[in-house]
Amino acid sequence: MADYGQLQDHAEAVLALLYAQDGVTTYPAETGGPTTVPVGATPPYRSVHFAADRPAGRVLAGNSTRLRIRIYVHHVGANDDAARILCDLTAAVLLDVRVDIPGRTKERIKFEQSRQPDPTEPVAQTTTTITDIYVLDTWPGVDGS
Amino acid sequence: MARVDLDLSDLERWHADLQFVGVIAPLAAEAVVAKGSLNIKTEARALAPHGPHTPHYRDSITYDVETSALGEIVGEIGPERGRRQAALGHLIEYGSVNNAPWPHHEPALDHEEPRFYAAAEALAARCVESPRAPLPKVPTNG
Repeated sequence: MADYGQLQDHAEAVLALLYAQDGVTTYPAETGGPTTVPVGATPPYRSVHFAADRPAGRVLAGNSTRLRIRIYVHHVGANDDAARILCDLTAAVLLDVRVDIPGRTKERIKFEQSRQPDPTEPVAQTTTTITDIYVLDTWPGVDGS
Repeated sequence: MARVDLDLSDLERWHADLQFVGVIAPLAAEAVVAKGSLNIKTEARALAPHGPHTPHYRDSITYDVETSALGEIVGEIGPERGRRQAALGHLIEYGSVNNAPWPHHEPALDHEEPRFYAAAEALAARCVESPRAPLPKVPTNG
């Protein structure tokens, strides 16, 4: 049976990198629970979502074993500065990293795009969110170099 | 006295073809970008949510192709300002702290990428091999 890759394996590998960073709160929490941020959570923190796709390419024609994971990281700070610093901290642990997923050949995690800062409320601003999107491509095989 | 007669008609025809290509290539390239943009729009609409909370959103996704004075061809695909629920685009595509993203433009772009490169290669071959073949007709917006 072809190795189509497990989304959960990919998510856990990426989350492990984020959880390992001291001093930054990441949701979903390492102890489990929903992806949603608890009511009353105080910034700074980041909330992470994943989306999987299986685009063609890099594998034999007709084979859908390539997995592309988009990693959406929402950085929430008390202001623009805090959100930007959080973005930099995330980049420091994700960019160009080859995660450990047994049996899969991995590209390094790449940055795809950043959304403009989004203040929660334009007049009495209380938080600023910056969403960065990273991409991880994997396909069956031994660890790539 | 030695005399050499050269038949340059084929060379002259090729020269005329190359000049012709210089005129039609930008139009053909615009058609390739337009077709790619149309495909992305169509798939993005198909992937977009259309439940009871977002009944109009997917119809807000359109495309537009423009060629600048310098010859740069740009295809723009996405929710069109002014259309109903177009403002939800970024929230749906990228999610938020408490809402998972619903990617529909980015995957559509990924899927079109190999087709677009193949079409660009075919265009290059067409310019050399059959420059006077009729151009495909693709609307530049929709």
